Amino acid sequence: MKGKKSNNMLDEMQDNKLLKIEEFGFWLVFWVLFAAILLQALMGTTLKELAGEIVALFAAGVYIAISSLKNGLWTRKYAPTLKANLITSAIPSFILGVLNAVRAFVILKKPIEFGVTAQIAAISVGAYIACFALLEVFRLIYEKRRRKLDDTEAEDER
Amino acid sequence: MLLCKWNGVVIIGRNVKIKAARGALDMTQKALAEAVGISRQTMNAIEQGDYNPTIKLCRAICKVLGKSLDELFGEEDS
Repeated sequence: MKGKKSNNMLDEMQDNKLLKIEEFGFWLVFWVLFAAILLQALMGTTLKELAGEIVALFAAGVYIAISSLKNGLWTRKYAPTLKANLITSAIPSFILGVLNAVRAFVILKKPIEFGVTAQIAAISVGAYIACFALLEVFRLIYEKRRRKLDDTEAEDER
Repeated sequence: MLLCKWNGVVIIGRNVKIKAARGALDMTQKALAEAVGISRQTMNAIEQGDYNPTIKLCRAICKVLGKSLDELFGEEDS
């Protein structure tokens, strides 16, 4: 329904549909950008050359994370638990490991030796620890925020 | 939109009550849509049960048709 003060030309159903279209568009851009970064990284593009794409992806990620936490939201499918964070952290770690291995052994044709393998493994483990630490910090913020929002809503009921 | 219970499950069905109330006032779907400030497409979706309107829109429709929320959107057992 159109509000008198609003400049919105759409009614609520049209608005909902447009929001869904925009949501799909956002995630399409997000994942295509992510794939483009991975592909370019595999082809030997340097971090400096990828800076623009990385900043754009990072900005979108930061926005989603901050907005979700501020509103006390986690994901739709998974509850914020230690176990879920332990499993989720393995995904970027695995992707980074595979990416580094392909780049080192297939594209740059480095010899498969202990030094290179250890370096790739160390980066993957580092990424795993960093992701897990970040998710745990997010989980603590989420739980604190959730409690605050629920307490505020409970006060309104009185 | 009508909330109907079928085997204990609430389902959204076609809202014939809106159509009937609109007909009683000799009002077209387009006229009702304009009166509540929505598109005819949305009004049609509500009558067909394809869109679940907000309580704010339900109240606006009730006001225009001179009916209560219960009369137009009340739950029915079937």
